[in-house]
Amino acid sequence: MISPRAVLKLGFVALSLVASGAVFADAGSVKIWLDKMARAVESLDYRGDFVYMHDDRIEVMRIVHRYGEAGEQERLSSLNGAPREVIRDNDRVTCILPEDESVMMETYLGDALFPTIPVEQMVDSSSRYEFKLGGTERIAGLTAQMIEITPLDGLRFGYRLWLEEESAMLLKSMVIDADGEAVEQLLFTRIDIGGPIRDVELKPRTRGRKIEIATTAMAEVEQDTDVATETEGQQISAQVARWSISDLPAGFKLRSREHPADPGSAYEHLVFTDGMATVSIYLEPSEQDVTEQRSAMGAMNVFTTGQSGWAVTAVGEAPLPTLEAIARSMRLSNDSAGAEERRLE
Amino acid sequence: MSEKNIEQHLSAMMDDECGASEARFILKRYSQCAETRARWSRFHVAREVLHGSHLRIEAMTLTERVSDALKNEAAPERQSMAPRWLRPVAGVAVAASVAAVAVMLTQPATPDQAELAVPNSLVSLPTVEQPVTTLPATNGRRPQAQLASATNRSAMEDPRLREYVLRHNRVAPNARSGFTQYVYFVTRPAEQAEQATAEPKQEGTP
Repeated sequence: MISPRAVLKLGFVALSLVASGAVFADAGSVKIWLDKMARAVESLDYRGDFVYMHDDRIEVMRIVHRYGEAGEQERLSSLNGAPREVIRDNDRVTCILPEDESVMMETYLGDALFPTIPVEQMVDSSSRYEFKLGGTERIAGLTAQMIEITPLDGLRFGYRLWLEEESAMLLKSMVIDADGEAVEQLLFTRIDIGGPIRDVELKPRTRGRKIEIATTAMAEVEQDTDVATETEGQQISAQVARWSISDLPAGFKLRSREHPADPGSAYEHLVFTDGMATVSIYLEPSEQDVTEQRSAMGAMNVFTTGQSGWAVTAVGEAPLPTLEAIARSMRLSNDSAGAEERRLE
Repeated sequence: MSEKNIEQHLSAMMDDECGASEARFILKRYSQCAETRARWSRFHVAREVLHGSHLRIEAMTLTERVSDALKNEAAPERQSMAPRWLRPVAGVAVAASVAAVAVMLTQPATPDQAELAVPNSLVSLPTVEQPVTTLPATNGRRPQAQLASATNRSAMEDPRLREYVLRHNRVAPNARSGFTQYVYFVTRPAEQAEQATAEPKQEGTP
């Protein structure tokens, strides 16, 4: 005879399973859409103007993308303000500045001029997000399928994506905070998909200085410096071994840890992810008192705090409270870390 | 009547600041000119974008607006040529708003024209002096946005934090981060560029 209490318990479990199934009911079809979107952004030919809104700013830009025998080529330019352009020819990136501006070199530029969403780990049973297919809307004159990625808690941003119904090209995206406000938005106001892209459209329009950056070459340079900085790296790693992690925000896991090989980079880099959002933690000895700092650009937040002569900096596309929680989960110990804490060794 | 005046009349209509005679003129133009009808729709798209809301075309047609205006003969004439919906909305700077509108109004017909059609229509909106790059620090709407306004882009101006951000972008599987740094490059104000390059870096030495 099953007791009423047991019936209630079974009912609760059943309801939980139903609820869980509802959460991931659309996950499979969403993953197909997102897979297709990732391929579309990389492999389609397109040109378009889009508006990128973040931090009470509006940037208006034009992108031209071509994928063919010559590989992947792109040109990103601003339509207002000083004329600047980024030209990408496979793994070579050329930044073009007006002639009267100083030069800023960066060697860590990524290789994609247009945003995509990671799909490898985001749709799984441990996901902290709910995936839903929304309705269709018209964006830039095209019919778009809306996809909604909603976090199950307030620790991460949500996403809404509008994908062109045939090609799955990203036409509009929004990053949403816990209050439902758009942290950043991207919206094509005009786009041509699939049309032939002529060579001239991928040539720079700005008359200025060119700075060429070969992204793969930079990776090789960095690898070469590994040996030279091994001792320094070992010293930092030995100090970092005193750090441990406790009380990470739910869903985040340590994905990697490395000591940058660049000369003068005396810090340790830890990477945490929940499958969708990625947060970096940098641990760096500091001889000066560290003042807490917070800054943001769109969905990208930065938080720095100090702890016992170290600067702990969190960087990532997650709400500031989450970055703060991860940064504060880092604990410096004197060889007596708690049993439940995870050592960085 | 010039295209510029048409735009101003449409803006007045959107702001409910249109007099009866002005409304009649616009209605006539609206009924006869496909471009005016398209422009009316694009204005609404632009306004929806500037308000950060879900993109949708205003359900209220121009005809309905005109009817309302005609019913209310005492409707005030416009106080300013600057349309209300182009004034700062939740802290959005006017010039930036106009830039966004400019693109929406720029509809080149061919790829060739597309390449040459960089925002000519900017000049058609009279309230713009210069592109605004520094924005109001407060809008009382989103704490994080206020914070961002106060320290906006500081992470990209501080060499140490910039290295952190760029390294993060390299390892993050989310390519959105990489996109952000390119946006920063092509849109950053010249004065910030000067600050950021006080100590120019050489290739290979981040």
